Amino acid sequence: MPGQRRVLDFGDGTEPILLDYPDTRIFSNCSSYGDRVPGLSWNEFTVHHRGQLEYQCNPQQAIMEAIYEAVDGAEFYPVHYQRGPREDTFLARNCKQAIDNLFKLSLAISVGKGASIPIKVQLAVAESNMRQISPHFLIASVLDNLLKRLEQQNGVDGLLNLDNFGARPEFRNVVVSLANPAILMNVCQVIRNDPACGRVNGFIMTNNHIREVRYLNLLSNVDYALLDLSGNKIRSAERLCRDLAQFRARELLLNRNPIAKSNKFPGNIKALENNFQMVNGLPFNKLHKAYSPLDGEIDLYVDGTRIDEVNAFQLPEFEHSQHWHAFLVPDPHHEFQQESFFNMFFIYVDPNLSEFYPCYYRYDRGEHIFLVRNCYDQIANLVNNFKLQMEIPAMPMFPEKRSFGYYLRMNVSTFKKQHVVPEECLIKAVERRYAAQNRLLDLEQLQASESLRNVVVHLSSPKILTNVLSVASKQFMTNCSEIRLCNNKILTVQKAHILRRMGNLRAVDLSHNWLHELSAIESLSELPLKSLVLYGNPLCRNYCLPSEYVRAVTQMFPQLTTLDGVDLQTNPGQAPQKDFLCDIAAYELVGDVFLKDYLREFEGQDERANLHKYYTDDSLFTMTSTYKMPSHYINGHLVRRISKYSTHARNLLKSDISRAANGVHVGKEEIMVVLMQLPKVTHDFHSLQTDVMYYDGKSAVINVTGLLRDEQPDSRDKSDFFLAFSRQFVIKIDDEGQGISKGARRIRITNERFNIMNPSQKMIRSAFKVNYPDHTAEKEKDSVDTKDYKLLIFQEITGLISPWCTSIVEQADWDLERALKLFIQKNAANEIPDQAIA
Amino acid sequence: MNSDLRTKIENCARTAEDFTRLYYASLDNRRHQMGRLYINTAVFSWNGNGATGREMIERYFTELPSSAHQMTNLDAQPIMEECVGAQLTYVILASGTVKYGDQPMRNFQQSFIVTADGDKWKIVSDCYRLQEVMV
Repeated sequence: MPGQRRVLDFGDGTEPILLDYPDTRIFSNCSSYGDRVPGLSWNEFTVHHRGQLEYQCNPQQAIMEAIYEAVDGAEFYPVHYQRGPREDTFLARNCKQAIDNLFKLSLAISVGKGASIPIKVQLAVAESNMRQISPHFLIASVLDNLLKRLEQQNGVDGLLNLDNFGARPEFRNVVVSLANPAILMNVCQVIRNDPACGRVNGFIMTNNHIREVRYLNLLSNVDYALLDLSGNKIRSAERLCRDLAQFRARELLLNRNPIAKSNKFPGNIKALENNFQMVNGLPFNKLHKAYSPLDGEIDLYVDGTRIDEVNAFQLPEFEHSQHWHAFLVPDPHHEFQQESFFNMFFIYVDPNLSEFYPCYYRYDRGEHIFLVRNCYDQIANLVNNFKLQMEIPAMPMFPEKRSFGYYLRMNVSTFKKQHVVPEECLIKAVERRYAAQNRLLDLEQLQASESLRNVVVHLSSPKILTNVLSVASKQFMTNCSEIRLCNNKILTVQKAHILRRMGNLRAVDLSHNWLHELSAIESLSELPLKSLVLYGNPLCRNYCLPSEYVRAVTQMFPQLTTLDGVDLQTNPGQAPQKDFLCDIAAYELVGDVFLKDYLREFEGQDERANLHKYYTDDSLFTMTSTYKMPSHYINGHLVRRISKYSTHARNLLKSDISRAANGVHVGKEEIMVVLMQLPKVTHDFHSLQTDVMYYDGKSAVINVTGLLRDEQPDSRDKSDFFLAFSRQFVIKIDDEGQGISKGARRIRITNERFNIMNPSQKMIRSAFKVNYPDHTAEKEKDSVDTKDYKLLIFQEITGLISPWCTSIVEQADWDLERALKLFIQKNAANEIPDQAIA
Repeated sequence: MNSDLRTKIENCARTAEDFTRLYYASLDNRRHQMGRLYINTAVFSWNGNGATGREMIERYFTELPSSAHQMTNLDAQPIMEECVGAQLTYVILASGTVKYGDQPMRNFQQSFIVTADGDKWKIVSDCYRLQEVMV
């Protein structure tokens, strides 16, 4: 009952409030309280809602939210809040700031969507004193109690439960709401100052209408287990990220907040990735669903204006548009993956026009789709000069050149804050690739950067590359001494002078790019580079001899000391190379398909017996030994060791031609006898140097040299005994009559020579220094050939038709033994139908 | 061993001796004529550095320092499966010591595939390895 003299006794031990209304002036609809001073006395507020909020589920809540909004963060604790059919009243004291703010709004608050509700204020309606009801005191005592009774929830203990804080019975006569930032601040301060604060392991702040959590930073920089903000009114991701920037907890709960309903969530709180491991029960990284405006925001069927060949004349309307434009390239059979698609597309992107950064690429309903902006000149070029056609080079399946027509949708969306800005992504991507400890900027395969997930940065475009180098140069200045640009489809490096800011740059790695001519990197020559890597570029093929290549490069880069990792101080083209392949296709032969497998099997005498599979009745095998005994002393036991080899050896220079056939071992049986007599050995696989001198798919000539350790048991000499060896193989590759597995190959050795000799000091020093990966660990990584071979064997043993073979061998992870056991099991369980057997 | 194979092996050994003598003599003294010893499409690898074709191989040799080879071991086998067409083909394996310029002596080993080309033996492939790095 406002206006009437009365006593308010709350019956809670506090002194009653005597309302006597000495000042009868009631302010309404005005912006100043004139000569009155809102002191420490109680003031009375009347909210004239006239019943128009009855449709709201909680009118008092709506009014309080409006008041908190109006007092703009000032502390404000309504006491004795009385609901009425047409007006609500309450008292408050010690709130000058809040009163000032209410007057600023001419004593009107806006509830919900704009309904303006007048407030009447009567100042100093009652004397106040310390012993009367005090919200501060109440809050402090409630928190003190709660801190003594920390709770456990879902196995996490030490939680301070502030769930629906204002509804606590202690607050029946005051309105306390954490929705008011000032109250939240007060609460946080009390918690922080409480001695029990150190035991708090997390906060439950559910159902408090909280919009803003800025003051949680008072409790920050501690690693909590939980921050539960479910059921509040947090809407702004930006504010949340800023407010919680210093707050860390294992888990953050944001269920039932407007923010969690936004389609940008949780991408928009990615800034908190390092503060919380889990959000709403999911690990942060799993939760992050890639945002794309093409998910619902843009409808490519209706948004924007379609531009195709027919209405290309309309294009100039968009010359000054800063909006997004969509490219839609039909490819109904999804012939091209993203990478090859852009490789072809960028052929049409003019290097002299603006930078072209396709964003938000996706393949959807038979079309390659991406968005671009701010590149009108490029679009005009594609429309006017190429007529929106993309030529597809001839391919085995389509021997004729084909042409893909495509179309655009211009102005499909305005640029919005959450959209990518390619230049910014580029800067981020480059910054993250710098390794300070090595002063190395590793831009290998830049496109693979996480920051470029939504942007295609095709470095075949020289302008884009220049942009990248310029970012790098500005960012790292003299702190960078090496840049790696491998695998970036670079066609040419222009304007490299921008790298001059990097005064200490000495090494550039351009391996595996698309450089066709040395002139494409001429601009790099003004940098004082010491090392350059150009390996894997088409330009290397322009030179028949290594020396020519080296000469050409050093002519352009005279100060170079290292080229492709080879020291140029040695004679050009004469530095030893570990391996030589006359034909890339022969690569597998020196790996697990033949050579390494052969050498491994040769090592132990048990497995060596398996080698008979390589020999036929016509195979020839010879041994030579060029091992020279030390001349200054005779070592009987060394002689014995060597004689294990030399007894089978021959030397045409030392014998008459008539005895040339001696020591030539012919056929599987005879060869195996010799092989089995040789000592056990271990190869240093790292020492191997291989030369494949001939390969035509049906036969091959392979040479290998390296170091082995003789493992012959010797009771007198326990030290390692090393031998240098070389082996030459002429092999025949059978690939016919192998049934289903068309790639399977059977390898036969037609000629083999095994030679042993003295290892050099250097070979002994570095013997077995590098751990060669254990082949048992590599089992998973069977090459296609090995797999085919396994399938073939499996089929021969089981007689199953190929789909069944594949299925069972795959189930057994390509382990033949397991596959066979599985087969036996299935067979016993009658799980293999008759149709499965060929 | 049948006599046919024995004859083949003996012929092969004879060819190997004659051919390697000619080869090292040319390599040490008449580098400019090395190309004659190769077929047009020969493949050559010198410590892993490749060169293809007679002309390129000859040019590669001319860039090497002068050499003196001493062959100490020779082996040869006839290739029964035809590696280069249906022609008679031998694999020749030579090793020994070599001195390049004024550098120290090193071990070398070399393997050739040679084939009959008219009345001459020509190299199909030539793989040369020095045991230690040449500086």
